[in-house]
Amino acid sequence: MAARGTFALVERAMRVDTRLARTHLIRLGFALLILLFVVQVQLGIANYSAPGRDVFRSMCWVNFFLLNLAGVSFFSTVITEEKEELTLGLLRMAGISPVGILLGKVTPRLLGVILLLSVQLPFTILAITLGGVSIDQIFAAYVALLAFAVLMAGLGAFLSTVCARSSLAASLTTATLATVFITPYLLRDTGREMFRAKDISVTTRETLYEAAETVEQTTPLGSLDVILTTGFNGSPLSFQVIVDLSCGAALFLMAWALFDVFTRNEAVSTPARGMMALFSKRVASQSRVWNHAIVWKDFNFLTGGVTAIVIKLLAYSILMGAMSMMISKRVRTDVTDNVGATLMASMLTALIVEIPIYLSRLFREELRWQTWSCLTLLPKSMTRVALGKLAGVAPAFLPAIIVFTVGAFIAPRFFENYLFKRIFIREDGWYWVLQYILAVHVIVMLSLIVKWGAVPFGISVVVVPNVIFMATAGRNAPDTILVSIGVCTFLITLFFQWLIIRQLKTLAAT
Amino acid sequence: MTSPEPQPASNEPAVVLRGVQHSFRKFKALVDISFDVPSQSLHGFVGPNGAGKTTVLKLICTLLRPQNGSVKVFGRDVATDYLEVRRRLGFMPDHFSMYRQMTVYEYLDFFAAAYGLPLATRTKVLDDVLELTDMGGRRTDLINGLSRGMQQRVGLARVLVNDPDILLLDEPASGLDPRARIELMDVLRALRSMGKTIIISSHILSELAELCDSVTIIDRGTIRYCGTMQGLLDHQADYPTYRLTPAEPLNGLRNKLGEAAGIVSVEEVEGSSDVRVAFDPEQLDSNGVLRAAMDAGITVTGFAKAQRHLNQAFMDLTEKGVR
Repeated sequence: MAARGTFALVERAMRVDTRLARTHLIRLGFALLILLFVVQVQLGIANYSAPGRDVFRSMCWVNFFLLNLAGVSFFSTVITEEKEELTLGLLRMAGISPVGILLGKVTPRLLGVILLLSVQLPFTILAITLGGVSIDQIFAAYVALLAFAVLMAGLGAFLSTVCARSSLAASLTTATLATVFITPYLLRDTGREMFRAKDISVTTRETLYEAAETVEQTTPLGSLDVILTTGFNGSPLSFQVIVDLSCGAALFLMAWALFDVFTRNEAVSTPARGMMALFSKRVASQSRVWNHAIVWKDFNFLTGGVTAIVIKLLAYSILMGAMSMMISKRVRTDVTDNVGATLMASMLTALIVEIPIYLSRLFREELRWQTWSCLTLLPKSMTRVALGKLAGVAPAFLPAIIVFTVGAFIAPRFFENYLFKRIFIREDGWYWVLQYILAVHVIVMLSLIVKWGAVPFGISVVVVPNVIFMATAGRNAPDTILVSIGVCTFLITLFFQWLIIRQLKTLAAT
Repeated sequence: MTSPEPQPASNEPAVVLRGVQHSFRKFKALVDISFDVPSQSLHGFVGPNGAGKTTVLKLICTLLRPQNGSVKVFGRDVATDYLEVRRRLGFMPDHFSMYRQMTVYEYLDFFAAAYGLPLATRTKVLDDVLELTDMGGRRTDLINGLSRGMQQRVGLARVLVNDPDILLLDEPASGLDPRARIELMDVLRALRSMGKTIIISSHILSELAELCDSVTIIDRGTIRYCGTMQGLLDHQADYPTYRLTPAEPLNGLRNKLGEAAGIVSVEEVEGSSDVRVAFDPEQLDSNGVLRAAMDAGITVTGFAKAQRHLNQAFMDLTEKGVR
């Protein structure tokens, strides 16, 4: 019975997946991307010593990036989506065991990822023909990537079992991956700095370096570099493959063991009151809605209101204060410039991360709680409603902007000469600003279509082709080409604005 | 927005639809819809699932734009004058689209402010709608913690905050317990007495029959009936019909009556020994029917013009199965 249930789940998921045009379009898009690599290498073949290896390396890194995306959005929602739809109980009542549900939900997604990898096979053969890469390397690389896919599936199964909501599961997956990827750098940096300060011995530093190396070798981030080295003749069953497969299996088993405990009670999901909950209901009911009601709503319920902004400002200030102290201890000259530069760079990064996250939630939350149609029935144009919502979330960026401004005051030279004149004007920073604005638009559009993962998908759709372009043809491209692309980007952004408004109107009536 | 604002008048229809067609890709949701809703009336909108009720309501409330034909609310075209139309109507959808993280008061205050009511006016308006919907005692409660019936009241209070001339209620009584349903109907009666035009889509026909002045029956994207409720109940498709109550069950006498000249059909009334007798008015009158019954040997204890129940009218006018 359980096996039949599992097969039914797998079959249904595969059928649905096959019927969706989106699935085939993604595969086609992926094949086209690889074709782009091949064309790129072919055009400048004289500059490549091993063109086949370069094509294959690009393919591997794109695969690795996509597997991370799949981990964050595709696998991390595997059980939480059933929890949110309140359908998990129905599956249990149909007699499907926990392991049956887990297998039935994880397997089709894993197969989907494998199918996505399989569209590359013809190009892989082409890579061998182009030269510089052997069949053993290709085999080892794919084994490494598949093992990582299994790890992602296991991690997704575990986190989506223990988390109540997809958003939390996706956030924890992101945090886990970030920790794994950042840890080696932190260990190396800590070892180097502490040794320089004579706090640790050479042996301890080497131990930290070895630990960093070990952690790095548990993901394709480290193993692919080894595999793609000229003359590689190692076994495909590398340390990374064994660790990833073991961890994937262990996480899956943990998900199975904890399944009953974390899925026993189905609860209807409700929108969070957030920081507004800190006040008593009496106080909340006495404070009146502003005349700009939409701004009031999103300011309080999407960004968390004044409380959240004050907390964020304090957190940024404490963090930046600590960093400034560290810098002032380490650096002997131009302390203020260094501190100011750090504040500005950190807050710019924070803004780059915060903006798409908030904007992806701007309309998604309205759609999720089916409130969008009521909002669009107000006697206001769609643009006015959208602008009201934007004005509501804008204060969420104030803490980062305030700290950035402090940085600009501390280091005005860095702001003017380096950040503005050099990065923005001379080093094509404007190009990346335009691309970023387009990415934000793509993310908002995706947030109206997909339930989860709009941010990583939006970033990947815009950033990956740009990175590839800049790393290859765009590196030495004349300004006229960059300006033309900039103009196209601006026009595409306008087109996305139109698409967003159209989609919002369509969604209001559904 | 600059043209003079037409005021609702009792003789002017609140809503006028003419030749409205609407498709969702290849699916024709509305084939050719034309009907009027009288001003200051309580109008029932009835039809089987998938008949096109919600599509019509969404067209009236400007959520959808008509692909063909015209929809006017108090003389304003919903396609071109949608902001003014939105100002004058309140739409309560069939799903609970509410900001459940807000308190009742916050929620109503939010919509009052969004409709542009100044702070000084808002307090009075909110007190009034809370009193009308009997939610005054729950103003500080989170919407999330309210029962379905209470949430429905809050939804109704929400559509009232801008004092609309016309209310569109899509299945407002679905999922409510009998008490909540009766209380909701009382509120609707009170609103009608205030001069509001109310269009209510519902499956609960008995309540509509009791509540509504007029009704539209829609099926498979076409209007099957539009007119007064009394007209629908009196309405016969082809022949006048009388209800006859015999002293004893008819058995074989039923066929004998059916064979009489001018009698078109004799149908049993479900759950009783009564029969419905339809006749050709060119050959017989009601006295002739009574005479034919006595000639057939039937002892008649009751004889009156048959008035159909709304359920029967609904079944007669709509087709079996769903689209």
